Amino acid sequence: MLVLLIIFMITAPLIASGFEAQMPQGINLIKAPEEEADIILGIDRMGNYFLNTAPVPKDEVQARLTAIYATRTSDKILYLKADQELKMERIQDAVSLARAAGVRVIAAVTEQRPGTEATVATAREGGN
Amino acid sequence: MAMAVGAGEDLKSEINITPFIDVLLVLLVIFMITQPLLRKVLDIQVPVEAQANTVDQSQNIVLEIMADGSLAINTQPVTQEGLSAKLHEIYDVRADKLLFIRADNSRRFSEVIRAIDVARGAGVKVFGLAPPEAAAPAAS
Repeated sequence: MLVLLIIFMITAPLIASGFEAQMPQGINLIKAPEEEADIILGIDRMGNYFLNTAPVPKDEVQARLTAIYATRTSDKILYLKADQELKMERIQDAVSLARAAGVRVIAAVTEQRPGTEATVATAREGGN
Repeated sequence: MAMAVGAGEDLKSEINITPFIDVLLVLLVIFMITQPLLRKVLDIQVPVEAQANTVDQSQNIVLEIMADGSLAINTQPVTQEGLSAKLHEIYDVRADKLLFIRADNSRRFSEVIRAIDVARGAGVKVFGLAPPEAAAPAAS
């Protein structure tokens, strides 16, 4: 019973978040462990914005990101979960927003192409 | 197998599997939790406006994805298949592994990711999405 409870506790927030996007696939990806403090900007197929899986109107994204990154000193990484079918126009918009908010690195969240292995180092480098 | 003891009560000789199922379920939960904890990403450095202008732009290598989907490195056309070899050729002898990517607005995100992926496979460490205005002189 308790185990079932735990299972439902884990899956409930995943199902509840209305964010749906198909990540692009790649081969030489970097492994980035998930952390609580990570900021995730999602853009679904329709071009709607999600900040940490909560829907955010497009004109509020700038203000929200600026508020977050103004007080962040550790790393200015923004995890971008964008649908692979999106036009670059949309991505450029998001990048512009992020840059104006002080983001230094955009980490495009991707999926490992099935049956492939990275041919180069998969650890993130510090510094830049 | 079961021996009749006392008042006809059966003595169970099977292994009690309940705790095993318990342990298995807990293991299942642990795996469910740890599975999504690793994210696969491709890092794209965002050039700061001021920084982009101070960098010697003539030395930059700009990979362009044209409106029709064709690729070009510093305005020289490259095929999709030849991209990896070309990037190796350029970056194997270069000290700074910096590549700017400029994509036409009509191209798909997945195409740009594929280009970045190939570039990372060629040993390029740092990426910049070239700001349209800053990258223009470098490409010409």
